Amino acid sequence: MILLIITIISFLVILSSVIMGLVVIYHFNRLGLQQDPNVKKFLHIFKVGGLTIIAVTVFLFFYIIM
Amino acid sequence: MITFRENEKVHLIKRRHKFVLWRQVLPMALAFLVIIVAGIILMFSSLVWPDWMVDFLPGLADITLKSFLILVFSLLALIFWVSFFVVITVYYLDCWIVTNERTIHTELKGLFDRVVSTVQHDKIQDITVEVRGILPTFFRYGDLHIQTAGGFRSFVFSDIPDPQQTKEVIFEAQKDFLERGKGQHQQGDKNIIQ
Repeated sequence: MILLIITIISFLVILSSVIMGLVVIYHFNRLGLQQDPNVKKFLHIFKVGGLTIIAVTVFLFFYIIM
Repeated sequence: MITFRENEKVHLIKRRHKFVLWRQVLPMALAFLVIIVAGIILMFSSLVWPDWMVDFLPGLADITLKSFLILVFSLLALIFWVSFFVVITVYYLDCWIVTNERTIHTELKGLFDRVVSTVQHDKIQDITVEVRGILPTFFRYGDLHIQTAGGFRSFVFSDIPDPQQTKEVIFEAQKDFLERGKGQHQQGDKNIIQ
């Protein structure tokens, strides 16, 4: 039961974070701002940091589940 | 994406003052750092569930408290990380553009809610600058209200740096726009007379 709750909460948080991240990138793409060096750096930090945290979270999740 | 008209030149792009951004972002950044530091400290600690909790929820015995807390902290870190960048994105994409023909406001109210409004320079009747409070006075930021003809919706530049200078730029652009318009009218009248 507890594992199920942990699974659902982790899944929802990761999914919503990924969706929000994609929307942030979409907004910059839509306005054609991705070529701006500052925006490029900003998005790079955002992607790398976000993916690292997601990877750590997924690792910890499986560590707990196993 | 904003499409500019032919011969339209951008005079000014204004965003909210950086202090306003810092005021929103700093608590998030601090919370993120606290979570990361707490997570690192937890890694080197040995915590166990209290007995009363294990008695109450026997399933807890399968999970170590340490790994559970680190997972919770990493989920919180993820939430703060994304929120931090969403706030910066909203700040960056929420801007006011003054061109030689009109003033444009692109507003990102949320990630899924955006409004683009424009006002032609000939519709502007009056501009009011409002700097209210200690911090706005100290950091030189404030609101700029544009009153337009015909009861058009209010046009407000919120928390922009140097509102007085912005007001001058808008007035200058309006003056140029009206003079150009008058010139075109006079040219038109001459053509009719001929």
